[in-house]
Amino acid sequence: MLKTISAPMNRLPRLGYRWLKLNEYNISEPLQVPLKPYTHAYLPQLDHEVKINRAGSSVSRLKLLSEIPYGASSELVGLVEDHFNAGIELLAPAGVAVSEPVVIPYHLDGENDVLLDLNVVAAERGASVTVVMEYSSDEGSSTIHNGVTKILAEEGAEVHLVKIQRLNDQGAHFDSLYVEASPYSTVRFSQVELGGKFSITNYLSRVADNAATLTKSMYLGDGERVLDLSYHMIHTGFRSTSDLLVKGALKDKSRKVFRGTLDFKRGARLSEGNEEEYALLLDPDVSSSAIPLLLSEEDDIMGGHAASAGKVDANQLFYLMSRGLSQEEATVSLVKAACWPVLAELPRQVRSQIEGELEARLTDQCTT
Amino acid sequence: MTRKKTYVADIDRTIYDQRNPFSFSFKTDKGLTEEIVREISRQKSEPAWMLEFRLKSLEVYHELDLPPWGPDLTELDVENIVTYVKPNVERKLSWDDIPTDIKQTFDLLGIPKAEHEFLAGVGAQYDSEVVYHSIRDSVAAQGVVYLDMETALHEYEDLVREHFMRLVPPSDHKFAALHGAVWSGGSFVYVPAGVHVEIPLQSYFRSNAPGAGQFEHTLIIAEPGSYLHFIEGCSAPRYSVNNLHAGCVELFVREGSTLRYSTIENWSRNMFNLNTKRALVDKDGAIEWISGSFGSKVSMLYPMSILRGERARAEFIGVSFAGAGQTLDTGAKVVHAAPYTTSNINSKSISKGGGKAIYRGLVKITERAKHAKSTVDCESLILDNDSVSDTIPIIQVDTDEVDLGHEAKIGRISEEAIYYLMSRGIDEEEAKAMIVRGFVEPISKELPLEYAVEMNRLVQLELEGTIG
Repeated sequence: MLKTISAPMNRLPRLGYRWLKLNEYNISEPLQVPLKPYTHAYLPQLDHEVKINRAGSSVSRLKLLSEIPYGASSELVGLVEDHFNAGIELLAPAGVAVSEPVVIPYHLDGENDVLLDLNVVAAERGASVTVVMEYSSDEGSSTIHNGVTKILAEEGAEVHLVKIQRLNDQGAHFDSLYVEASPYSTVRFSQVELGGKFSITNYLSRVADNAATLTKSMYLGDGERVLDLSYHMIHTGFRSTSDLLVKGALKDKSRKVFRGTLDFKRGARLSEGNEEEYALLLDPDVSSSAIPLLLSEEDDIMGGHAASAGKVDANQLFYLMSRGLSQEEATVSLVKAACWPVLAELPRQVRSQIEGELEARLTDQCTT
Repeated sequence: MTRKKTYVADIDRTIYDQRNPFSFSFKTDKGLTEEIVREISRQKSEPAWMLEFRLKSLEVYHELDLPPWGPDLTELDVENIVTYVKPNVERKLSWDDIPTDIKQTFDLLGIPKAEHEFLAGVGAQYDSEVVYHSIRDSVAAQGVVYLDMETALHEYEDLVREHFMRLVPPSDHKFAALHGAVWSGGSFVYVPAGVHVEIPLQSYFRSNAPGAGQFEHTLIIAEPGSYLHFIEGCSAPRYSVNNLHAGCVELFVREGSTLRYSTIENWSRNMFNLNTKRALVDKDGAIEWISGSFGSKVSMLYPMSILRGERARAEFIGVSFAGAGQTLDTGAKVVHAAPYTTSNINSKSISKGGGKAIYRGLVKITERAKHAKSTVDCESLILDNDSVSDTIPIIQVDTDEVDLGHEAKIGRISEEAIYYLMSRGIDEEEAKAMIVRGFVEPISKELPLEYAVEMNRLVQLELEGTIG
């Protein structure tokens, strides 16, 4: 059976001028998704109290939860909820704190070329857990990934979700995240977007009293990659905090749209939100758009956003070259430095892999 | 815990609410038909091409839809708006010849006094027609042309034809098309090459008729190396029916010239202010927008600067103050279309009493705009939790050689700032007043003194209790 993906994605919560065509992402032609199983193993063996099961093995507590629309589009979310072929249900019981990350490796290849993963991560009161989800694919295979990840952090819980996307440049990547941060909880999200022909991600968090959602994201656009990254932090409770930092580099003919919305609802007194986006532009043919929205119904809040875009700083480049680095080495160092706040969040082993990949891909550019 | 709020008084509107009996020598029926458009053109004995233009615009108007974004316009019923109201007076060259009630209105607004003291020329429009237009002899002697649009259409037909609605084509949006069909009044300014007009020109637009629309057209051509400061003022008394203002401003800033365009907009709270302003800036030219938005029920106003020549520059300084029942959706749009162009946007908004202040802006840097620089700063102050403030900036960059920064802040008056001022011996009330005055200062200091005073009066601040 085939399903079609065609509906507009990542629509802005407040629309703007139509002629810019930035109100939403429209896929150039409808994408046919064959419904088929995903057979690779991805469930880790855990030797601690965190429970993990395949998606669908129990009734997810988060099924009830998403009372507001979320995700890149209802079409994409619906497709995963109705036809998921992989995914996890992870439960960190009350009071359990595990520092070792739970790693879920999703890998796509010629045989397993469709991944529809429905992931639910729930941390009960006071629990603490780190989950790493990796998406990769074999070179040369054309694959489709459409995923949904829902996170519930109960009171005082801490969840750290790491998503690393390294699909090949043929792959389609759609990822929808929904985060419910209960009072006094903290949800951290670290995102690394390196691959895919197009990468459409959508993050929505609801931040209750005294809760925090902290997001750090990095990306690399090369070739003709299209990145459309959307983040929407809804402050529902008082003294809630949200923080968003997005850094990345664009080269070749890549295109990026950043959509970040800080949304203070009435009652979100004493809340604070910040978002920052910084794009390094490495080639003349790139395109970089940023739409940082700031919405507020409450007076007693602090909200700030900053966005900037430009080339690698010439003085820094000159300094590094004067110390003996070649131009490409210096550029690589500066891109890595720009992305460091995100890299620093990653588990060590993953980090060095990513650094290596960044290096290889950026050096490629410099030699041509 | 109850928190005391900073209390900021509503704008004192007494002088603006001076309402004259509704009299007219001719007005069209409500609504919009081809017959009405023909009638407006006939009343003005326009050249045939203008009638054609109007009819074409009307067609476009019917084809276009309302924007799906922005404030709710459902309450605006164009079918119930009288598009053309000709006041009971012909255009005069002396204030003394103008009927007392109309003259009194402008007297109250301080226009003749300002003209006498510090303006190079004045145009005054009452409903759909300009009732007074003058320019100082010394300025006219330099070749500066300052006329009402109708007269210009006859005396400078070629110039008007070449520029009229070229920057803002009727197909731009529904209200631009409406403007093209029923425009009336407005000012035409031509500044010859190299001429510096040292003191400002001002046009004042007053809408008196209830349930009517005002559609004035302003066209300014600043030839190479010239300088002009143009001030636009608007107000209307309050009625229970909705009024519509869909003006259009087109500014041609030629090589090396500078045009400053200041607006103090204080329409009454039953006005839908759907205005379109656009400037085309050539090499080494500069457009400076100074904009104060205080009135209207709904405003949608996004002055746009198209920087098409090398090193062209755009500045935007705007303050908006949204009180009860108001939705002020404003912001600046800049398109960088040439190398080394720069833009600076500084926007401040205050919302209180359930008002909605929205900044909606755009910075677009095209592939040609190598080494463009742009800085955007938005600050919003929300004075209570009935009010809403949204910031919707869009930044689009299509080249790598840019230096672009955007910053926005939203929040309440900083307690640290108050504390600091109090520690320097200033009492709390005064400290708060200073902070709010300081907040709007970037715009008031850019205005001629008299207007700065006027604006400070507009923002009559009364503060009590602790900030909270």
